[in-house]
Amino acid sequence: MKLHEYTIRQLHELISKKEVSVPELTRHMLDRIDRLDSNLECYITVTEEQAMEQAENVQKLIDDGTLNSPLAGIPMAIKDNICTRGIPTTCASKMLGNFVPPYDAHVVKKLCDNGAILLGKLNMDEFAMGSSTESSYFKKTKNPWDTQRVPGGSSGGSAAAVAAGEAIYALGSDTGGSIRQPASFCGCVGLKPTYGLVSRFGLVAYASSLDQIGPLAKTVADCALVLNAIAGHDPMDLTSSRRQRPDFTKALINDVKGMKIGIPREFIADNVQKDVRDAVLNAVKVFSSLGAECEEISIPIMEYVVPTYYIIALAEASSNLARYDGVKFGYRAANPKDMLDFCMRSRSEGFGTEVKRRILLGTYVLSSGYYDAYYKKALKARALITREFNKVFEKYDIIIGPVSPTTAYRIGEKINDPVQMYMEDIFTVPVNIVGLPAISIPCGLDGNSLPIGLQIIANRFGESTLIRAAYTFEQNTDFHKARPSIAE
Amino acid sequence: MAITKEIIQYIAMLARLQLDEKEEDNMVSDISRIISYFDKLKELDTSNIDAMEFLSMDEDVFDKALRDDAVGESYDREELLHPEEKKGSEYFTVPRVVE
Repeated sequence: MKLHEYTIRQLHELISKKEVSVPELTRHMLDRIDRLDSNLECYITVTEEQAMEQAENVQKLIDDGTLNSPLAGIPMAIKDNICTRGIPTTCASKMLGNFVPPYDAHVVKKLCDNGAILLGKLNMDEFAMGSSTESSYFKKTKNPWDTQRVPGGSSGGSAAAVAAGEAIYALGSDTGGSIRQPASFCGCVGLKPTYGLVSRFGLVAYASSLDQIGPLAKTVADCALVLNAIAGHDPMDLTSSRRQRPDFTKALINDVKGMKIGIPREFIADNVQKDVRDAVLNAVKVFSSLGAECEEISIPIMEYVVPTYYIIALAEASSNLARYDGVKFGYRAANPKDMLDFCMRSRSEGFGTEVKRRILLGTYVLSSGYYDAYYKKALKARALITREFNKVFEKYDIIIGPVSPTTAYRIGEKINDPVQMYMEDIFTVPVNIVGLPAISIPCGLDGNSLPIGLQIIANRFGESTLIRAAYTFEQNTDFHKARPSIAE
Repeated sequence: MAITKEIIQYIAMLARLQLDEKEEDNMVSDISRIISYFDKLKELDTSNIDAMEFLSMDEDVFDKALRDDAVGESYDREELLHPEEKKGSEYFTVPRVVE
């Protein structure tokens, strides 16, 4: 087995036993990026020099016994909307093409404290607005399973890099499915934590009441290790929870006996691709055979989740993105006539089409005369959706279903149909609306040998239940072992 | 209500975005379709629902308290200024706003 094929846990052991050095491992990863990334285009920035320097330092700290975190010396990469001090953080937008943050995001600081090695910054949809990574201003990331296809989005670079072995793990962000859907399309594990579990300080805001940062990795155990490092209270984020963070690796228990699982019939309806539905129903059988109690349930409000999500997300986006006026940071238009012209042209030349479309929609639903009909209505719908999910969790420990109605589609296939693209977020957005944790784990391949993702959803702060269920499924199936040939 | 070119021009002004003719036409058709999809929400009965209910449910979970008014970490001025500002500048420069 080659170094990039190992999990965090296995590499930690190799490093501890001195069978591999951190610089050697880092060099291996950088060489891989060098060889593969001109084709896959996962990275916007590769931080080769800093990575090698960090690797030397971390190796010293491991050698003298000051650092023994399971993440110490493990090379990883970060979505380019998470601030890294001194390293460009572009949000895959022309608008932030020249932005070099003067501070680290909370999660970056946490990972560095654990001795993580940063390989670089990963491609994404512009400002995390999209589900295919095609709206990036810089490049189009390819799916490692079939380079004619999208990796999903918006954390497409993160998922593709992990799947192709261009990073051992990655951080992504999830506003409406942006960790889980690309994890599903690329056949890796992606975890979206409960709203408030991981600090958003230093995450470039898209929709602040929905955004969460989370890990993408090869296995559930690796996700638990990363979550242990990044979760916990941060006074810099007002919505950061003060709850004591549990040790998530304690939930890596291979047992679901007696666990109550709900399968909403709305998640396995006719709009779901047959291969995907079959794989999910097969997963239900696996859980049943392991002693879980699986029952079909109904969440009738599901037909309203997509409009509710988009109204709230885009309203918040239009407000959050008002800060890009060319003054304090970001793209500045040349030779402005006056202040208004400066602001309007900086924004119009700096933002891409999808971002403009979402800002306009958000502005519309917040504008005088439409506010009550759209934004306020969506907030009320959010309350109703939350009530329905709360009711489900009174009776069930977890909900399972697909992550996405389809597997990875061809590059360019859906980019011109925004409504269709939005509708395909149906199974991921309710999780963000309610603030729940959810995970995507591999549960099979479709007829074209493309990965299918199983989504497990738990109650708020129910990460331990989520991890236990996902780990049990993984330990009793081989789906997570499938790798694209490019990853060899 | 139908989304007209005038409405798009009006919200574009509110959002401080300038659209060219072709962008405007595309936005009229895309946004019309998306808004009529959003209109589905009108079917949902939300009478007697408090729009703020979602927030109040999390009262016990999230830190609502303000943090102490203590001196914290500060940043280097030069590092915070726009990269296009002149070296040694002490402020952000914008086009003249008063005659």
